[in-house]
Amino acid sequence: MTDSAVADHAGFDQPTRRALLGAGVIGAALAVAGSRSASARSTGLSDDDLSLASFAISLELAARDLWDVALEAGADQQLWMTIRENHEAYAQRLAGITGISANTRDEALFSANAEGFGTNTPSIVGYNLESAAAATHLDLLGKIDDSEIAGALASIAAIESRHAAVIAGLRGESLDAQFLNAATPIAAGVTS
Amino acid sequence: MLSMGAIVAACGDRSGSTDPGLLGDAAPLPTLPEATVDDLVLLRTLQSLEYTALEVYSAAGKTGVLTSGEASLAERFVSDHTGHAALLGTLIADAGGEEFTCANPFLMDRAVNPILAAIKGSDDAHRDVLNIAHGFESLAGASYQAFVASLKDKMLRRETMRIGAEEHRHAAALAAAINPEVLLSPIFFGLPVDKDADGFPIPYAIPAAFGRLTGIDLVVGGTDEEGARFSTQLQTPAANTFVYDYQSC
Repeated sequence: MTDSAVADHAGFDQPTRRALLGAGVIGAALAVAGSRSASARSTGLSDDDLSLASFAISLELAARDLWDVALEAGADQQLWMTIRENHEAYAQRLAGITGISANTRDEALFSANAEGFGTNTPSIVGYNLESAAAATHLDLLGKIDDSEIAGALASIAAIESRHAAVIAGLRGESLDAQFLNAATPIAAGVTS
Repeated sequence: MLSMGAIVAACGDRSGSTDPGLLGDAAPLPTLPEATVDDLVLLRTLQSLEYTALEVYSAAGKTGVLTSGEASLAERFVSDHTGHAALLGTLIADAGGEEFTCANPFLMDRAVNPILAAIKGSDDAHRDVLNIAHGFESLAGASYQAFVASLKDKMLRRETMRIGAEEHRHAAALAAAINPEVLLSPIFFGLPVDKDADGFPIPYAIPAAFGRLTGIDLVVGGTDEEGARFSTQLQTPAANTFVYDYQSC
């Protein structure tokens, strides 16, 4: 892959990550409060689990929409499109398990990062987003009780980690950037 | 002519020993210790996988077939696996268990040793070593993922899968090194995942939308007289691979 996916080579800037994380704190609370659906599964899931799953869904929908912004700005490589599709699949998977409707994105997370994704060279912002998303799901594993949701989050974090590693590899970043996730989890607003 | 009473009498007496018949004079099977699969068993199993990976990289390094860049990557992986094993040791100790600081016995016997034996005399040891590394990194990532739903302690789910995510990153980097031109699996485009023209599985840095728990196909070594190569499938740990509390190095 020699396209512009690797052209925006300026290192992974911290302001973008801070914006992501700051937005997440606010967005988490909004998501938890706003996206619960009347169709939520009634068997066995605690209110906390439902809230955390709802947050995870809203994060994935925001990620999908952020990648849409990049695609519309001309980042038309298959990698970006695939990552976008994956995020939508993650939201749908979690919705399928919980019965929560996958229809509400984390608006604050989206708004804080939409401008950064308005480029045909989104690898830096993409790396930061994928790293933060993976870190968030890994953090949620320490809070969610339901093993089915936990299993789904693990399978999602696995591939989001690969997304980040692939982007870092394409950019020729350090092995630390490829293999370690230094991102701070986006706060979920609910503590265990 | 037999009377009805005689027939009934002949069919009715089926008493006697109900033990299965015995042929030969084999020793009785050993009685296995009672064992339960709890969080400690899962942690010890994961730690054994880290030591298994170290054994694999030790053997790979001795082949001398890696380029300097690949060797640097392997050194990094060795460092990471060493750190993972130590972290798991801490988690095990904190949970009141005993570390298992050696490779997984079942996996070594049934997978690693046969695989390493198969690459002796290979027509392309470089190819084999990279594929083996990719296979075991993929196995590690899948194993951590598989254990998430089984672990009872949420904190352990989080801490172990953090390691698992790094194993997935390793696997992605190796796949990109082996197959740099195609990072995305054909399944993203509705196409079948085929082997290459020589029958080797093709690794992809992003193999699916979700982390998979299916077996990992591995083909290594040269061809035999029938044109076949050694082939195996790496599976995430199950009953035979678990490191139970009664086992020690």
